[in-house]
Amino acid sequence: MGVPKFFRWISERYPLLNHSCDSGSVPIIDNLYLDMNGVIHNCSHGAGTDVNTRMTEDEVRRRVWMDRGKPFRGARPFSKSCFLEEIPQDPSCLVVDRPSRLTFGYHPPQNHPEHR
Amino acid sequence: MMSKVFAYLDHIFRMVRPRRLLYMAIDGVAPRAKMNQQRSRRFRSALEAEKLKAEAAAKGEPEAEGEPFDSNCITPGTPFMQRLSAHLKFYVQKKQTEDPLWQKATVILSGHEVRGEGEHKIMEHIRWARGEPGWDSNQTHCLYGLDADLIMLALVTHEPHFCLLREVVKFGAGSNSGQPSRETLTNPTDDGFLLLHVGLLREYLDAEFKSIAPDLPFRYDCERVVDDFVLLSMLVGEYLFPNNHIPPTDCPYKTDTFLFLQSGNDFLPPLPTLDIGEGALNVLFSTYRELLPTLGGYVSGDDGGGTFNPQRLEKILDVMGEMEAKVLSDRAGDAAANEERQQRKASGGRGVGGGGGGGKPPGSAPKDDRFKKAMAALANGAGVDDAVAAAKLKPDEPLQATTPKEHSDGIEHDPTMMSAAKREMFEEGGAGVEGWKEMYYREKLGLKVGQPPPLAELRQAYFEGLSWVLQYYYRGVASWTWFYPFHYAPMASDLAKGLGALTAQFAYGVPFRPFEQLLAVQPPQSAALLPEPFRWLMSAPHSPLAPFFPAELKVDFEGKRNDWEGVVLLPFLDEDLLKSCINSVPLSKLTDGQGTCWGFPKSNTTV
Repeated sequence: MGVPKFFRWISERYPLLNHSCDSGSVPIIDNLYLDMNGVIHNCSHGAGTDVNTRMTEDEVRRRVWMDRGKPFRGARPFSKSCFLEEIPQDPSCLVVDRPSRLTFGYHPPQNHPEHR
Repeated sequence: MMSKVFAYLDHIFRMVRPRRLLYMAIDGVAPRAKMNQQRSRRFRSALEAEKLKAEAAAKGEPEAEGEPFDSNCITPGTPFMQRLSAHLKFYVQKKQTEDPLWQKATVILSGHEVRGEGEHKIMEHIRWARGEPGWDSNQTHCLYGLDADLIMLALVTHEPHFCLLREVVKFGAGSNSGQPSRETLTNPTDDGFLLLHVGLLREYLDAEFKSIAPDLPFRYDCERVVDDFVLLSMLVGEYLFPNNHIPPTDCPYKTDTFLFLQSGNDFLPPLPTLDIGEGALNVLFSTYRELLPTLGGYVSGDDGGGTFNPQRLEKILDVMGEMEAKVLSDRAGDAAANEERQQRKASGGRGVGGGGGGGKPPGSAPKDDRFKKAMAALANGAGVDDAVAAAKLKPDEPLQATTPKEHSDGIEHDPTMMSAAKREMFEEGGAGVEGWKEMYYREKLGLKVGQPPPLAELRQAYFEGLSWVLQYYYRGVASWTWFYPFHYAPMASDLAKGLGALTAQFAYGVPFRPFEQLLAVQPPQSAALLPEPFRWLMSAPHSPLAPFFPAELKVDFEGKRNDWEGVVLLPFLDEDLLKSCINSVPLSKLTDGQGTCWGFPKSNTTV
């Protein structure tokens, strides 16, 4: 974890080090490394801090697909097995996805708002 | 929660848009040196959960159904991590097939089954990639993570274009309220992100130290200064209550007299008189600046990264040791002034609210709490007597500011390292630093009166620790089994004596297997995270490991503000005993899914 105050100390001593990403001015990055435990810890806050809320696996799984219920338009066949093993619940995904799962070969991503 | 993880990843990815590589590293089994810290954190979080539950019950809130989310399950080898890994693999495949942004970059997912901490697996990858032919030295790197020591790791790579990505951290007002590194973010994607340019930090350091270049009898080299910066920063810790040496009232643990510091690295405790809040880093670097021309070379070793020159470090520590007296007497003065202030405040506020505590506005929270408790007790159908007892204001209750020994919650606090008795040492005619030192070692190491402190052992262990950490940062794990066998560091002046003559040897050893690590770091409350055949080892009174799972925790707490920051003074596990216990359970008792987690770690998965 290191010293929490170190970050502050260094930002005050060398004030130009930090720059905010909000303006969209992120430089071109070749390699991105993610310390996933940081992500997991951030995301698990709220699940564990309140003793009276319970997030069940089913709820989580449902939310994954409700939130991001983007159908598998461009899925290649090899992901089919994962798809079936991991997410058996949400029938809407299965229906939308069927045509592409049943044909082999590469399906280019559709013109989806997320990709523009 | 998984949806949060995915949404978060999406957000980061879309913001950064890496062109070549995405490396996702989940913590795997950590080296032994780290496990002691992990263990104390997890024991603490289990205690906290129990306390929260008790509080909720006291307020009369109905208990939710089902199992609560146990944050201790974020440890390699648990069923939760197995599920998370599977989800992540699937997520990556899905993104790669349907999102053109993802198709440009190579994605590497290093799961929890691969040994090593996440950030160090990333370092390992960078070291490896740099050795490959065709490495482009002008690549830009971005590392996402929350920990402050990632700055060190990024410096250690010596890459010119490196930046760190993290959430915006708001610094609190006032000089003593640095934010913790892992604060709660209710909706992380709503907060802004910051890029910290480590390349720029290198230039800052260069600009700062270039001015002494003419005085140096040897060649000035910015890279060596960067290495020295990393080494010296490791010695400094954070003392979270620099002016207030009195623990908060709501601490759930039995407290002890121990002095606590958050360390500059996760493997060694920091030196007791080097506190970032007291400007120790500034002092350390100005000392370094002054001394460097006389040292005959850089502090970091001449044999390349990951080594250091103990003779030169000794000289710097000598100077820091001479300042101990001043630091300690300043601290004593601060503590005295603070107590006085609190006393005044408390006696002023008492008439209004019935005596709260130092930090709270007079007359607000404590009374309300008691009222709530009373109502809750009534609502739960308890007798009126109980309700009255819960709400009772004790008029004779001593104020925490004046007598830290007794608190309203009945937890007993022993006097701290800066209590009135010890402050007297720094007054005229007192025993001074020598007296304080003796007290420090006696209390911290549990020595008897008159017993000399094991300074040589402390020094040797700390020296080995520094060598180990440096190697870990620069070259990778030197030994999987080495750990620092004390809870506290020696004083700077004692560490300096004869440091130059020491050497360290490491045996590489074998990493723990995931279940061994689980047994080694989880508290008995989280026993459910282990496969069933192992659970009894934690809880049964006849278990050979029972002495390592004490029912009552000692937490060092002086200077602690946040619950994850105290040091739990747990006995260090005996590795051989643990492994032999684990091996006594026949493999046939494990189910298939557990069996896959049993073996030695696999290499990285490239997706």
